[in-house]
Amino acid sequence: MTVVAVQQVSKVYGHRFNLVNALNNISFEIEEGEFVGIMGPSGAGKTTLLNMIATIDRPTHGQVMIKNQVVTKMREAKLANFRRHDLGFIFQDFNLLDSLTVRENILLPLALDKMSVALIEKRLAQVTQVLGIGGLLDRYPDEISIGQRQRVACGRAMITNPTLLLADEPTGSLDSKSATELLRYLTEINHQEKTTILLVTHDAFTASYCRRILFIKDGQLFSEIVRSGDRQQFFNQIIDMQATIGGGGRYNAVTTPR
Amino acid sequence: MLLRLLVRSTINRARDYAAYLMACIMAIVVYFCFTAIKTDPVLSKLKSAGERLIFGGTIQIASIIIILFAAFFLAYANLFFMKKRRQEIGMLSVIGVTRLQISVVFFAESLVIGTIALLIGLFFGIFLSKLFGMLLLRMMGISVAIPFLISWGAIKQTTITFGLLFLLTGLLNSSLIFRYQLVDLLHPTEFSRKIRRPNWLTTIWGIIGIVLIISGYYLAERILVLMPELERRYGYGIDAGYLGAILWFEVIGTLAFFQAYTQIWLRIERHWKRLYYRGTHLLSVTNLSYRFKKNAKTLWMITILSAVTITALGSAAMIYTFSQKTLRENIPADIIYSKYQKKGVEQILRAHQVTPKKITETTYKIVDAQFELATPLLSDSMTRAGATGVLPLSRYNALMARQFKLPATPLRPNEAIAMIDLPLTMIKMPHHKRLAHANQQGIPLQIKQPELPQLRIIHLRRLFPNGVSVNFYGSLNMVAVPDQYYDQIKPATIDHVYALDLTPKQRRDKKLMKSFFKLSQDTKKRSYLTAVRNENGFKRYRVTTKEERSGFVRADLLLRKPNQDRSNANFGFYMYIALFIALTFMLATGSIIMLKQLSEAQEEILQYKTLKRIGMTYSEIKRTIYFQILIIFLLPIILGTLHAIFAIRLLSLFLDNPGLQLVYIVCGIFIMIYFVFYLVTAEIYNRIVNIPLNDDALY
Repeated sequence: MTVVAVQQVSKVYGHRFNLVNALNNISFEIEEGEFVGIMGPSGAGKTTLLNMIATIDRPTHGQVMIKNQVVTKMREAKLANFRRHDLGFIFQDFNLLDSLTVRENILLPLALDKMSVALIEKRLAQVTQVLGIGGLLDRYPDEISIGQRQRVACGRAMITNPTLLLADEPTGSLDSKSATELLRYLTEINHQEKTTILLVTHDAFTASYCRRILFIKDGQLFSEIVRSGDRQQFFNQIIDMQATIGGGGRYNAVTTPR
Repeated sequence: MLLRLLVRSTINRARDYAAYLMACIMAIVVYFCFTAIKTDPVLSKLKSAGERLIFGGTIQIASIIIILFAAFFLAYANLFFMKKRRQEIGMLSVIGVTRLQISVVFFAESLVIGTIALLIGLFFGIFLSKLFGMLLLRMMGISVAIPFLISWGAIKQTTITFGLLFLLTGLLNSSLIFRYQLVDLLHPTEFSRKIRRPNWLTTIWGIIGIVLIISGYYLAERILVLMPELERRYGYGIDAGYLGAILWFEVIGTLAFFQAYTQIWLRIERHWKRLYYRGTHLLSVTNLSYRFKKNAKTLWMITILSAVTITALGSAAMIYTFSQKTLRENIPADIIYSKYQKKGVEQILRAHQVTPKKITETTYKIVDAQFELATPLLSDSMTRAGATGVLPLSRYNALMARQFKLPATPLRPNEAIAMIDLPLTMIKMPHHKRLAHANQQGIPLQIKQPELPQLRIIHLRRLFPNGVSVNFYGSLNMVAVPDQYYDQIKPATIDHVYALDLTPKQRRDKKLMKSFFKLSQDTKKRSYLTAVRNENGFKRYRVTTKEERSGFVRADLLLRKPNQDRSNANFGFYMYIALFIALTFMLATGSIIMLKQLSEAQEEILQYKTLKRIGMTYSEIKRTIYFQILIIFLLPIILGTLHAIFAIRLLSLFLDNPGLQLVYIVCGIFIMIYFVFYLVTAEIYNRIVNIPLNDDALY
């Protein structure tokens, strides 16, 4: 089943004399249970694309469908509800609420949904067990390490059992050890809970945990690679593709004259 | 170049400048209007009922309060403004402008803003002061036309005062610039938002706070029972201590309430999961927890200030009610006069060819009598013995009906009514054992005349027919007895008192009133009550116009109208001062909470953005913001009002419970104005924080 369908999406920013084509007629689909990465150099339009899918921004042309609903045409109130139920977010700087404990941060989306206390605690237990943060529940975000913080953010994103988990540079603020750990957890979630994950990154190591990667350059889909073998091999593929996008790779489309 | 840069940044920050300028102008206008009243030539020469009104002391104190407040308010607004501009200072430092240059520029800027504010403030002040002057006269019930005068004295005084204030703030700002660290300027220091679990100290402090507040209220309510007991044990010096204790209990208790009790309360709320994990409640509770922690002292100050304001307004209103009531009780007719003034009054009436609406003559028999009162204030009963004016029941009922619109009181042959000029709270206490006893059987009344039987007083009244003044200000005991009994009394002395009612048209006759006034002003128009020993041991009494040193004295002619005018003028004046101070306090406290909340709003934008991303709707965020700000505004007001209500009740005990309706109306208006502040703050806050997600701008 198709979870996300991006159909001919374009986005134009700026004033009349200074137009920026952030996205240019992009189309792709994501199936249920996939772990997809979006890669590309800075300014390629990765985050813009993610924002379109996250219903935070609206495209200038085209439409985005999530679970067969056209989210780009929804009303704001309905969208908020949709975000709460069907989407989970992980941000680069976690965006945890400092005044809430870890427990409260994680269960916040369910509390907003006015679920029963028993149900909330059941979900909380499940999520914390998967993410291994059971011992931190009564601490505040500034009392735990950044790796743990990102796991808490991850917990908050997945407690509603979202159709789609969106991650914007989730490892951007983490050291390599915490990053590896987080990615292992994300893989775990993808396997165990069958959650569809869409991850935006420019880091090849992070991307190598995905199953499929879409490369974007200058607002257009550049290419797509699918993982078939082990992670190391996939990592090399990604590096090559990055080099190609950067203009210095083995499969260069255009050779620069000497 | 630097100048151009500054002009640019001024334009960019137009909103902040406008807010600061508004605050300055507000302070100037309030101060100017007050000073203009003080120096107004019309008001200072104002005469009411032939007497000059003397405002001196009150207006001085009020003007000190207002200037202190204006200064405080200005300093606060300035600090707030500076805090918002820290990044600007940092930016200027980074591009290489020296501290000295920056501070000179800021100093000059604060002088420029001061000059602009002063000009605009004076402009509005001149117009508003005329309006306030008219309001004052209207409140005083005086009809004098105030010419439109520009009060140069007030302008000079305002300019000097605020010139100094702006100079001071300028210096303060310059010194602040030298003290800032560059790193702090560019990256504002963060305040940890996490809420510590209240430790045992907080818990104890919070409990102490509640205990102090409640025991302060208890002390205030039971003052009539507790204070006399303490007085008996420790002497009268304890009174000041008692009242001081109430004050300090409330002041310290309120501080503890905001610092600790709110934290405990919100912590308990957090444990109550059914409620806590429900919608936005979780957010409201934690945010409130943080806000209370951060703003505890401000909220405390605002509570105390609003308690003071409400008490001032309320007591002004209460004193008005009280003075109206006293006046009505003292002089229940247009003119009250004794037999010695009968001739004089008749002469005036004849001279002006006036037939009054009604003249009522009352005859008192003055005899020696004795009765005892049980009062809760004194451990023993109080003996009221000596000269007693007796009047027949039929006359008493007629007078009460005419003068106070009271229904007739029936009496059995051996019963009587006594009138006493003491606060009811001193005679009667609800549920007092002794009183219940007295009610059933009555107090024995002995009229010292051999063949007369004893009477029982079954009613104690505070209202004297013809008012208390003409009855020697209550020194003469008064009783009303059944008519047959009255006839049996052999009068020792007979006193005549006349009550004269005028028609409204006659009341407005200035010449007539002037002649009456002249007559009443004559200090020789007094009579005295003296005791003479009788041959058979009983005392006899005499009323003479001859001056006596030992004995009671009264004025023989009492006019209602000039007294009423003066009381109205006085009240109007005090109410005006109270309103002015209240207005100043309200503007200051209201804007302080508002500014504080709005400055925090900037820090919370990211939080609400995150909440929106995880699926909170616009209206949910709006609701939680309105709720949080409501609590922040409401708690100080509720607590302040409670404090004020107890303070006013305490005062009212000493003023013998005048009606409190006016007090409630005044307090209600105060709370309404605060509510407007709340709505404005919540709306602006919501606008700052609740921005659409895809809006790229930070503000």
